[in-house]
Order: sequence, then C-alpha cells, then structure tokens
Amino acid sequence: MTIKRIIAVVTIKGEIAVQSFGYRKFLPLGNPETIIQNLDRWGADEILVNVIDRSSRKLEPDFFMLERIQNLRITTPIIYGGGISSVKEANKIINLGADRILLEKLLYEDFSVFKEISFTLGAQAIVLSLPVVINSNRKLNQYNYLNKKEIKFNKNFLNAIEKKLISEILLTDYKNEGYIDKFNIKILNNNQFKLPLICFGGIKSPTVIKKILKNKNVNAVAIGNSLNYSEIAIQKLKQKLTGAKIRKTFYKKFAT
Amino acid sequence: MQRKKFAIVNYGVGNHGSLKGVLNKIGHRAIVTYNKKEISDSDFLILPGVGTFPEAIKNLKKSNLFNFLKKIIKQGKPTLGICLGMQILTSSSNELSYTGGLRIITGNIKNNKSAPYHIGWNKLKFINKKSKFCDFQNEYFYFQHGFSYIGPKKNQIASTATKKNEIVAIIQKKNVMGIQFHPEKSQENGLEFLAQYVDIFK
Repeated sequence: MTIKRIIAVVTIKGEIAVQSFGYRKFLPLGNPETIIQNLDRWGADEILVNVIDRSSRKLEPDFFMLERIQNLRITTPIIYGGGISSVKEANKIINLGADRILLEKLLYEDFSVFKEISFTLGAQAIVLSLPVVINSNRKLNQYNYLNKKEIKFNKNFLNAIEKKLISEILLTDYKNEGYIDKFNIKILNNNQFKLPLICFGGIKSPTVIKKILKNKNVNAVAIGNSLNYSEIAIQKLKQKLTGAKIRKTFYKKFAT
Repeated sequence: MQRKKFAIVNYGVGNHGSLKGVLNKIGHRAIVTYNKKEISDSDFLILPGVGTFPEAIKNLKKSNLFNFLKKIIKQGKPTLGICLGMQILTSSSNELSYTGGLRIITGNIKNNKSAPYHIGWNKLKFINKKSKFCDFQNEYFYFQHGFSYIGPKKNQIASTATKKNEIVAIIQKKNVMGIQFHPEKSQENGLEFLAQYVDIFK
C-alpha cells in the first residue's frame, strides 16, 4: 500500500530560500539549490519548491532555477509552485524535471486555463494550494493571499476539488506557518473535502506529525526549514514516527 | 561499462529533464528528440511519463511519430515506457476520452479502482518469479497516476498493492517493458533499476 509521506518544503522569495513566519516575516537561508540537493541526498519523500513571490512580482515561473535544479540530477519527486499562468508554462516546468505543480492564483483568475492544464498534464500532476483558518464561528475559511482576506471557499477551488481536476490539496494553516508545532489540528475536524490532504504550516515534532497522519484523509505532511537543521533530521524524525505508515529512509553521506 | 545512447521521445508532455539527468548520472548518453533518425540511431528508446494519454497520442500523430514508433519498436528496438509512456504502449485508454494507443502490448488503461489517484511510494511484488528484476521485490518506488493497466496475465511482471486491489506495476513483451512507477524519481532504487534494465536489455 502507498504509505504516508514526509514532504520537505523549500520556500523561496527574491530567489533566495527563506524561513517564513506566517508569510509575514522572512529570514534568508541561502541558495535554494544547495538546500534541495541536501534534501534529495537525505531521503525526503518529496520536495516542494514554493516560490511565493513570482505572482506578486508579475513574473513567470522561475525557469532558470528549474534548469539549475535539473542539472543537480535530483532523484526525489519535486512539486513546483509559483507564477504559473498558462498551459505552456506548466508543461515547461514538467519538461524541466518537476513531477507535479502547485496552483492557487490561477484558480482565482482563469479557471479555463487551469482546466486545460489539468487535461494536459493530468490531475495526478496537480496539487491545489489552499491556505485556511478557523474563523470566529469555528468554521473553516479560505485565506485569499492576493487581497489578504479570509473568505468563504472560492467556487473555482470547490469546483476543482469536486470535479477531481486535482489530486491532492496542500492545506496550509497559514497563520501558524513557521511557528513550531502550532498547526491547528481542528482544521482537520472541519475538513469537508473528499480529496487527500497534505498538511502544512507549523508542523515539526513527531507527536504532532503522528496526530495529523492518523487522520485517514491525510496522505502527507509538509515540513519547512526544521528538516535542514541537521543532516540526519529526516532519519531521526522517521525513527520517532513509530506506528505511522511511512517509508524508512537512508541517506548518502556527503562525499569528503 | 559501455555508454549507451538513449532517445527520450519528445511528445510534448513528459519530464524529460529528469530522465536525461538520471541516465547521465548512471553513465549513459541521452537526448530528448522527435527526430526519426536520432530515434532510429539510439540503442534504447524511452517513452517518458507525466501527462495525459490523449495529449501524448495527439502529439505523436501530429509529429508523424505514431506509426514510426510502432514500426521500430516492433522491429526490436529496446523500449522502456515510464508511467504515461507505459500506458501509450497498450491498446487504449479511457482517460478523459477513449483514445487508441500504440497497441504494442495488449491491454487497456482504465481508472484506478482503489482511489482516484495512486500517489506516493509503494512496494513491488513480482508476479513473474523468473523476472531478472526480482531483486527489487518489496522495494519502494514512486508512483503518480490515476489510471492503470488491465490486460492479460502473461504480460504482467510485477504489481503493487493499494487498499482495495493490486495495480500492475511492470508489463513486458519481448524487447518492450512498461513500468508504472518513476525510476528517475525513486532515489537509489530507481537508479539501480535503470542500471539493471540497461544491463539486461543491452
């Protein structure tokens, strides 16, 4: 059976990998390619490369960075998000070596292009980015990062999920993103979606991860910078996830 | 080890970049091409993955490769189809709309029974115990697909289990092998699989 996954997230802003705190404050970490190469060598189940400022800077996807990543000959599955606005761009990202793409802004702006991407690449290659928050009425709301407002779920997003034009949802607790073990588990209690979830936003410790992975709708957890703290962070984490259905991993020591 | 030349067929969709890099990594040359001469001159043919069946077939016909590929594969060119590449080797698919495939390996591609999408790492289980790939029994490989092979048992080499059923993971007919998983994104297991594939089919 497919097992649950630990996805390593590399958040990129201004072409640098950053530690984000609720997408409000950012600490520069360095060169994205080095971090991605490490995560590949350390055996992450998947790597999410999320370029969070391409759309706001009105830029196309970062093809130059994708070419540099391609040259690293990464053998871990990659999800790329950031600046995708056409079928041609989505296809080029896959041609350059990503395996899946992460979409959000396009669903607000042009659902027909989004549909075309799904028909070209296949829903299995598309992850929907859905930042959420529990409102004062204890209901789940969507967070629209474009106008920075909490909204009822956008109908295009609901349509994409209902019609299975995507295969997984990256459900982000956006307020707690970057804060250690602050992921609000009540988000899962409110989950109305029939597609598998990747949970993200303030997830670090084995205790929290185990709780999240126990939920039958959750396929994976996405974890940010804490996986970069040591060369064996992923291994140590997986060893502590006793009882969780995850893949054991190995890693290749850095050649000296 | 002799360096082999791989032609990764460019049918518009597909993660060519990954495949090219990984084949270089294990010591071989690879080009991404739709040029018939380059395809003919290669030692191995790869049909890459990531995309939809109708889109791949449409592009193959548009670039006049559909019948050409059928011909050279039937003539004996060692061919590896990966994920979507495996699927287009078969008779047909009902992904999005009914579309005919290359009909190299009998069988059809239909919706996954267990769950809409089979995404993540899963183990191989060998049906054909004489397969030279049996060393990979119970090893994890990365899968990413919504449709899978239904066809004669004689073509089936290995499967992988989901909650409700088994999915065919490897099919083979003579010089042609189709694999549902992505060796180029299955870390060490994937590299070893590809190296062994070259060794067996050279």
